[in-house]
Amino acid sequence: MRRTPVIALAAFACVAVAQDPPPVAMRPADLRRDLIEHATVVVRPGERIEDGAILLENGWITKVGKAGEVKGPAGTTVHDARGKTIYPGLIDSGLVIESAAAARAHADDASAHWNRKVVPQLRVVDMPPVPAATRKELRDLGFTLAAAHPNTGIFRGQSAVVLLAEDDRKAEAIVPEAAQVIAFAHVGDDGAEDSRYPAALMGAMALVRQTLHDASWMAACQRVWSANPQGNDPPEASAPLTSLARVIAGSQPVVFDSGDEEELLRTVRVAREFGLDARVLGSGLEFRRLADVTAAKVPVVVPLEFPKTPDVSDPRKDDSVSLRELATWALAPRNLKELLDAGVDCSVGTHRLKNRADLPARARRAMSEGLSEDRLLACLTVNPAKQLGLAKVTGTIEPGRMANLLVTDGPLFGEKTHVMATWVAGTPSFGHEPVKFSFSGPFTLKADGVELTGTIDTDAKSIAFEKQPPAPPAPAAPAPTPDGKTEQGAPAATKPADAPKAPEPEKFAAERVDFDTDRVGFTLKGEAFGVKGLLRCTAVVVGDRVQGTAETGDGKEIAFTLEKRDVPKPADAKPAEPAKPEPAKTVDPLAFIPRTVPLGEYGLDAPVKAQSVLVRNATIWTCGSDGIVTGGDMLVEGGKVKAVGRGLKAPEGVLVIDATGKHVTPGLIDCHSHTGINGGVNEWTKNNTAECRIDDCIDPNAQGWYRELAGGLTVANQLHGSANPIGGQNSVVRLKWGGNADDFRFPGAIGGIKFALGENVVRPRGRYPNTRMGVEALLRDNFRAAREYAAERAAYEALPADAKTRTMPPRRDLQLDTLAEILVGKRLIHCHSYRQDEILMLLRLADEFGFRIGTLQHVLEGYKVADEISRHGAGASTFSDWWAYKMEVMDAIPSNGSLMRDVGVLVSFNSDSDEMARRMNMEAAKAVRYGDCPPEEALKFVTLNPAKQLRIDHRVGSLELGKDADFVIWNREPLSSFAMADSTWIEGACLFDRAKADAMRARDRAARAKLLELAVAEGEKAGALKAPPEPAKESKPAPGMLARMLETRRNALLDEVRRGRDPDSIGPGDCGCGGSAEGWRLMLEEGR
Amino acid sequence: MKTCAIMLSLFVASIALAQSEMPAAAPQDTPIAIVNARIDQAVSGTVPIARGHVVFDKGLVVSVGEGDPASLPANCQKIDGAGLTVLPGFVNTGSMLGLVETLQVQATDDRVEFGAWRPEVRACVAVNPDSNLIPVARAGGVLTSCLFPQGGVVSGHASVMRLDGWTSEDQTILPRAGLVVQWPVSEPITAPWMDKSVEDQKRDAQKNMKEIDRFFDQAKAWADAHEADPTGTPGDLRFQNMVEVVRGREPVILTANSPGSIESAVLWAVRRGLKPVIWGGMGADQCVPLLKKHGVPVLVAGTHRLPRRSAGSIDDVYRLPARLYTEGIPFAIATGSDPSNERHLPDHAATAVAYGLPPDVALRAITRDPATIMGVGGKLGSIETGKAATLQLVSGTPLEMTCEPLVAFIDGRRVDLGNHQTRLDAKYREKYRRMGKLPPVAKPAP
Repeated sequence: MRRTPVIALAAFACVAVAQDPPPVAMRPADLRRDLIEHATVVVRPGERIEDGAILLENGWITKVGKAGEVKGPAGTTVHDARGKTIYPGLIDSGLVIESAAAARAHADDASAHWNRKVVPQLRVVDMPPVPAATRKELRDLGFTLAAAHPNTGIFRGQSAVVLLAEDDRKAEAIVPEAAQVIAFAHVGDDGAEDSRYPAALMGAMALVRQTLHDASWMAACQRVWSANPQGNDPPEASAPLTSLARVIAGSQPVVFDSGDEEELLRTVRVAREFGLDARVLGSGLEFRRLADVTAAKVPVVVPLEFPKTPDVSDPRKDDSVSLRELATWALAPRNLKELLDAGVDCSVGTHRLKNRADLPARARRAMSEGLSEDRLLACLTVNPAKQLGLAKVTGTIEPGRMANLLVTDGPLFGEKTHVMATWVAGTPSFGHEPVKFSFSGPFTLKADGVELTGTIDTDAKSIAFEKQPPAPPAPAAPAPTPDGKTEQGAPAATKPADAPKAPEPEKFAAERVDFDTDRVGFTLKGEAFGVKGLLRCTAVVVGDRVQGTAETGDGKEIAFTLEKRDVPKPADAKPAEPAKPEPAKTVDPLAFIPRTVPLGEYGLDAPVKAQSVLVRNATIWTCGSDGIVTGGDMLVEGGKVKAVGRGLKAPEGVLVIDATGKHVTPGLIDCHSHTGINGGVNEWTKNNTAECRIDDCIDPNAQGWYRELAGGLTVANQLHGSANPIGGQNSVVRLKWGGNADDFRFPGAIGGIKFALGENVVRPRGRYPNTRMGVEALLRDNFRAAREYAAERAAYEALPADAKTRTMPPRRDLQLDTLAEILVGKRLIHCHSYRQDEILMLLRLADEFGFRIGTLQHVLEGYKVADEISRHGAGASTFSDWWAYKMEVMDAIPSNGSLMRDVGVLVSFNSDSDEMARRMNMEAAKAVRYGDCPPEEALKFVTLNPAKQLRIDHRVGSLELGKDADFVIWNREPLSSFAMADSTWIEGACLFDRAKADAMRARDRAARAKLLELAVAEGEKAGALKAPPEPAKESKPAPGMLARMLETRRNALLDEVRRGRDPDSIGPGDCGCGGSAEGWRLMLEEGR
Repeated sequence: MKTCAIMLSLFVASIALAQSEMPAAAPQDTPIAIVNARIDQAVSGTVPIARGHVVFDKGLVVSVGEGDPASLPANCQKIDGAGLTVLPGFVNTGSMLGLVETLQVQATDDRVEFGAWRPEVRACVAVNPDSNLIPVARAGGVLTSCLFPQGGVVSGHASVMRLDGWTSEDQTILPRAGLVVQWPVSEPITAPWMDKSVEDQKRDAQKNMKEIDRFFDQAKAWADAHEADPTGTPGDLRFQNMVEVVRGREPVILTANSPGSIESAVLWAVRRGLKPVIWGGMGADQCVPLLKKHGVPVLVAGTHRLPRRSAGSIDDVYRLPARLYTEGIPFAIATGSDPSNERHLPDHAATAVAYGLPPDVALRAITRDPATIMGVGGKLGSIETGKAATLQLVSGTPLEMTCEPLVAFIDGRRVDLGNHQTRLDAKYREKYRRMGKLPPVAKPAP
């Protein structure tokens, strides 16, 4: 739904008398009537009037037509714009402006939000105008209007649509509250101690949700208060929450700043959840998830910045650049075109441009990829006008539109095109305005006894003279010198006759050339006129010639004239033709890049479809009531297990796989994974972050998924880290490689949450808790709060309708919502725990509050209290044999799992490691080795048991009639250390096949090699895209403590790399520290 | 597994002993003969003996071969190994057993000495023989470890240790098995966390290499001077401990895990006439000709590691040993950096087998090959006459997860395979037995 924004048009439609200082002299008449004629008028993309004319009156376009047909009223200034092209003034819908100072001021307000990153009340319109230099920079690119977005915080404030006029007072906001700007900012936080939160992406998203709920609640409270103040406390004043009223009502758009294509999809999810009218400041990477971005149906402001050419100049380090990075680099210039082709509502903005002046070059690059000028123009005029709700105000050159124009001397963004002028609301600003001498080209200079030829280049501001020597004498008889000797004193006879050669003309160049339209001054060496010293020349244009005088060093004046001289043009000389977009190339030079999802290594050409399959003659480990079926067949149809048995008949059209000698197991399930979580695993900044959701941050592009599929893994329980007692909510995913985050989500899996006990959570000093005693108290207090909260909400919900109108509603609290779900058994706790005392503590607490713990994670001393765990009914998800890496795990034993199982606990093995998750079958085998566990029961530790623990065993975990066909075909017994997964299937679709993986690898290597070649070529070209050598990062002298910290961090990470760790795999997602120094310090302290 | 349990109870008197109270094994006072067993890694490169014998006395193997021994020494203890396999004890390199107890508790950590240049330090002097970690590794078949000091640039001397003894001196086999050097990472890093420019990083790497070179220059100059004039040359504990290294007699162990680092490390060491060993080895498959030409051995510090770069294949580390083997580059497999997980050594080798390494080569890569690379190949690592009787009798297929030592000997001394973990297991099984949650244990026949 498109809503018309509030437009402050009146402000410029009349003279802004109120703001003008009192006149110091006569009052000026302000006649604003301009007629621009004889130009090519681009009315709108695709519609041109040759030799057209535009009449502008009082800042608006009043007439448009053919030159001569459009006449202005008396007093109209007529501008001859022959040879010019006039476009609708460009609109920058992505102007990002510095708002840190304003944000700080708002955060210091009395009614500020508790989190300093939430300043929705900030209004760009209240800030000083967009700096004049920025406006000029933008006008010089052709922009006349911009949506100016603040850049600081999470709720960043309200953007304004501003005119890019030259005069500060005319640079007005025509839409003062255009949109609320939101970004999931979480890294590099240097905020105050109390606003470190959020440090992770999921924290930022949670904060956005909570704030939107708070705004709704505030609106509801205000409704109640205004209707029924009696007996109620007045709602607490909150400028931030009040300012969001229109956002939550859907009547003010929200602009989400998205760092990449996944973030765009995340913003759309949040927007849908709250019914927001969303737009997105794009990343330029949308093409990597084109289908999903298209389906999101959100207007996108597309940046025209492209990744810089990967530095692959040193072939020894080229494997540091992945196919994904190279393909992104090569394809990014196509982003806009591909989005438009797909039907996405796009405009273009200057956000993300490191240097705005690069825009024309970037635009040309995009056009060289097949984007037409008209479509690009649309993204800079009609499209943004429509996105901003200004379609009837600007964007085209029609009567009734604002007089925003762009005047060029060539095609839009052509290599030689200049912006001659921009008109902003009827006021011109002249951009490229070369003062051209009105006389140019070849000429002949005549003075008394002197004749020179020459050329005037007005663009280069140069005048070149040539003195033709006297006509060459006959070659046979060299002219004797006056003293009778032949040249150089050599006898003429001895010198062989040279071929007749035109003697070189003597050349003189004028210096200190200074042009005016009709006047010129220069100096010239006297030799040109055959005199000594320097000639100082001045001349004026008189009719078709130039007349001047040259003053000699001794004060004499020599008169001269310049007359035009005809020079035959070389046949091949072409007039500077405007650069036309090249005709559509028949061969796409980048067609070799596999356009896979995800883009890059092991990406899929198309999503894998479920197949009907009959696996024949395998040893089938059903993990169900059939046990192990040798010589067994399994029929899969519609993604489900249809039959397991012997001698099954193959229905028609079914793919039959001969699995003789092979083993089939259910897909493996990892009950503790941190794979594929964007933007940080730990929201470590608070001791309770129950509002955070890992589910918000699924990264379907992580190569870890594919590596794990290759090890037979099909389901993972993505968990928050263990930095705080109450962590974030979990996410149960299926490894649907090639799909999007939605495809990964396991439908219907019961929600969970990560809790943590022991060393990790008590370690951060300066915050509660610092002991296991405090952990218990903190948990109890939070559960009580949740219980009271739930009661309060239930009481409110039970009120009759009329009572509700008189009663302030309770605030919705996402943290307490989550905890309240635990209390009623709708959410499972997955609790990081080691020592027996803390395990018991948690069980007792759960008993006290009347719920059951989902799983105890790690639970390395679980064997010491297995009877209690079994009695309570918690699952235990443990490491097979890790121990001794920290104090609380010194008593861990490898028979922990088996021993707990023997005492009746439901046990699974997990990885907590992207590496181990690739070989969970090997982990299961350790239960056989160390705990005498029967092999089939051991296999259940990584199949059926985790499925039960996650409450998804009705769908996965065993191969039984009607269950999902998640299975693995192994080349030998699955618990063998020599076993390899041949193929891995999810819901009947083959997500991994070893032969196909090898083929993809070959495909990727070939594509990568070609891209490397391209990148090397591009790098060698002093190309427009090659960024200047990056300045040394962070070489600024950091304060001692921080410098040491950074160095410690660097050295520690370098040590990891020295041990073979992929440097690119180290990041916020690795430590949850958000990349900030403070985060790093905490990470160092918290360890594993 | 049940059979294992029975065998265990036959051979091991009591496993329920706390490690700290666990005595070192008694010296071998009677000859021992293991008969009827399959014998693997008996002689270099040959197929296993399907049914053979090993006889050892006074800590050394005196006879090994097919069938029964021709004769048995007097009062020889005979062990029937029917259905079992005799293997050499596993040898782990890059080990930290005894150097650190609990990784996150700094007071227990003796891996990293202060400063960058510390060739004077030796791992063997800082080993806690009563570490709880040692018996756990031993129960996994790891009977010999080569400890690497960590950190700095020149980290110190690696020491080869037997995993049994009253004191660290008892345990020491070779105090200076190689000088560990943390070779600079050659490839510039462009990841977001790197706060130095590519140029700066290249400069740093060059500078670091130059510094290492200069340090070795000084060491060599001192060695030359000292050789010419042993009494007149002022002493220098650092360089005195580098003489064998700069003379190319003691290996220099270079930590390197990328092609660039491996190349520069090898070229540097070869140019200096040193005896290089690469520790880590990721990316070694991209330096094949160089490694081959100079015969530089590679210690693969674990196969259970993620691929080095996402541009690589998903299983590049899994395949690395097979590749090195195919190319004829000497190598060994190790566990990597976590001392509590050194018992995973055969698992790392097994994964290499899954990805193409022949099983016997894999077994060699955790027995004879690391022993040879660390300079103790003449003493242990295979079951040969005259070598140490450091061996184990295992059930099942070697390298399989379910294959475990039922009895093990270090220098002919039968070592206790019980440990802190088995003790805790027994203790808490007893708890549940008393509660009736586990069946009572069947008393073995006396």
